[in-house]
Amino acid sequence: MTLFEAYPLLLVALVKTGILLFLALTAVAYLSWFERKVVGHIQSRLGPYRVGPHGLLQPLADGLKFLFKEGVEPQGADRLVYYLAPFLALSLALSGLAVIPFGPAEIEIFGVRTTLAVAEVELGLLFLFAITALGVYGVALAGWASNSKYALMGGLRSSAQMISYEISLTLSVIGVVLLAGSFNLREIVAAQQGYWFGAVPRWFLLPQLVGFLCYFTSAIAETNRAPFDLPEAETELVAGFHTEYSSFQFAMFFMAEYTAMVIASCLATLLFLGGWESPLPTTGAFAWTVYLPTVVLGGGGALLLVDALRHHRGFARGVLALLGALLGGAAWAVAQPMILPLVQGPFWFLTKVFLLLFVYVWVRGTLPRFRYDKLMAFGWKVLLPVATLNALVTALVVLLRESGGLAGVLR
Amino acid sequence: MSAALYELKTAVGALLKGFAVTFRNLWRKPVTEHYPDAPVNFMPRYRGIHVLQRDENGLEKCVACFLCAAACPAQCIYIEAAENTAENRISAGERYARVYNIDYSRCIFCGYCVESCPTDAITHGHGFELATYDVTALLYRKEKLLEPWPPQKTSAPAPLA
Repeated sequence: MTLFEAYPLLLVALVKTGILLFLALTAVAYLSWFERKVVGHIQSRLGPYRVGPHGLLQPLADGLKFLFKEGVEPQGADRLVYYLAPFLALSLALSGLAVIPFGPAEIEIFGVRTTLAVAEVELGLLFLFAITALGVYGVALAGWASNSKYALMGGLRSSAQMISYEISLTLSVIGVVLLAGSFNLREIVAAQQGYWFGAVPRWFLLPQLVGFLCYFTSAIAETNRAPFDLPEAETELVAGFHTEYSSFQFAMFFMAEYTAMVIASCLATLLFLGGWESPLPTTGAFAWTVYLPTVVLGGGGALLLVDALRHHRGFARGVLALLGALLGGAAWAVAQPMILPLVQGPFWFLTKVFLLLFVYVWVRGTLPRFRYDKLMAFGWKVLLPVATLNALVTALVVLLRESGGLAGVLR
Repeated sequence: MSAALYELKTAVGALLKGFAVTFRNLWRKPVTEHYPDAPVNFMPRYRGIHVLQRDENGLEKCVACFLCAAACPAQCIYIEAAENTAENRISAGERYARVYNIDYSRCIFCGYCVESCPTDAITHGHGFELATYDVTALLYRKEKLLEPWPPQKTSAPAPLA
């Protein structure tokens, strides 16, 4: 009897981790491509377009380049911490993904029925905040261990910034926790089921609009993204905390940042945008919306095919046509009655996450970097009071509602 | 309170305006030139490598007045003048430029020579691929600068009237 026969759940967890890691790292790589494309077009440029059709092989080229570059260790660096920091940043960012549920469906791996999440954690939200808050160690330690004033300044800034915004980040979701009455991510999504007036989804976005805005702003600061990317403000600090990192260690910081973006978007989707709930009722006149995944995938595949045949030749045409055909096949597959209910949750979840990631990039393409004192002033004097007020008002409303009005409270 | 509300209103308005601008720009055609793959689209008044123009009879417009050489802040124009004769008529005027060199290792493409030319002989073309491994190759002689005759289809613009 082998280990896996004795503990089938271990094997299942390993398989799920493997799949999630593969998907997450691919998504992160292509997120960098997506960001460069979108920012490029915002600036009337094309973005990457020379490596493969539409620059689609750019992430691959970047990854290979990072792998083959020499890792230069600065003189006087604290070696242990210097090499530990990028590992810490990336592994903490990736482990946050483990508790994110991607859909309500259950799948069967090796005869074990299991959910679309690596780990079902009862206090998933707390776990996520704990893990993402630990991420600041990677950044701060990298800045400290590099033995470079720029890196040190970047690390210091980042510690101060992440600690400041951590508070408003956590406070801004208290409203959601109060409304849902749970720290479990699945229960929070379940609390957002149904529709007001039969059409408006009961997401926490509407009652917690202030909370959502606070959350998203703090999340941008928490992930060190523009316009709050002061830890790596290149005009002042060369590259901030990762100035002295090269080769794959730099890539690890890069991946950690993008993974943090993905996690922040996933969490925003789960907490405020109804997770995997469809924005449209799936009954009655809207029953056809279950075929939206098919439409989106098929449409994307058709666009790729048309583009391949009209604007490309040779290798690029082959690649694009293959991609288009794959998307078409996926479109056909998700329309099968057996798979159809399985893909609904992940489809809506990923669509919302993608939209939020687009907003991330959009914000970066629009807003200039904050001045450091303004960043601190905004965090402490605006965001924190607003988030606190939001939490207090929500608490009051919940209290009034659950005890049946003012009389119930006073009794 | 009202001041804070006003500030909030203007801040949100400004933010929305900025986001609208970038979102609209997202769908605009990029201005990227696909340079080595495709020819560059020049603005008509782009100041590229000079072209020495000819008149409608194929005679050189340059009358060797030295105004361009005088105007040149980089002093990169070298001219030697010679008299036109009945059997050797190069320009329509009294004299012509026997030697007309522009040293592109010094030229700053300021366009003063073109402005100063009384006969519109020297103009800016659209050539820009000057790179070379040999500095002496940057000294362009009259033969290289002159508009070819009979006229060919070139990217050079018509001389400014």
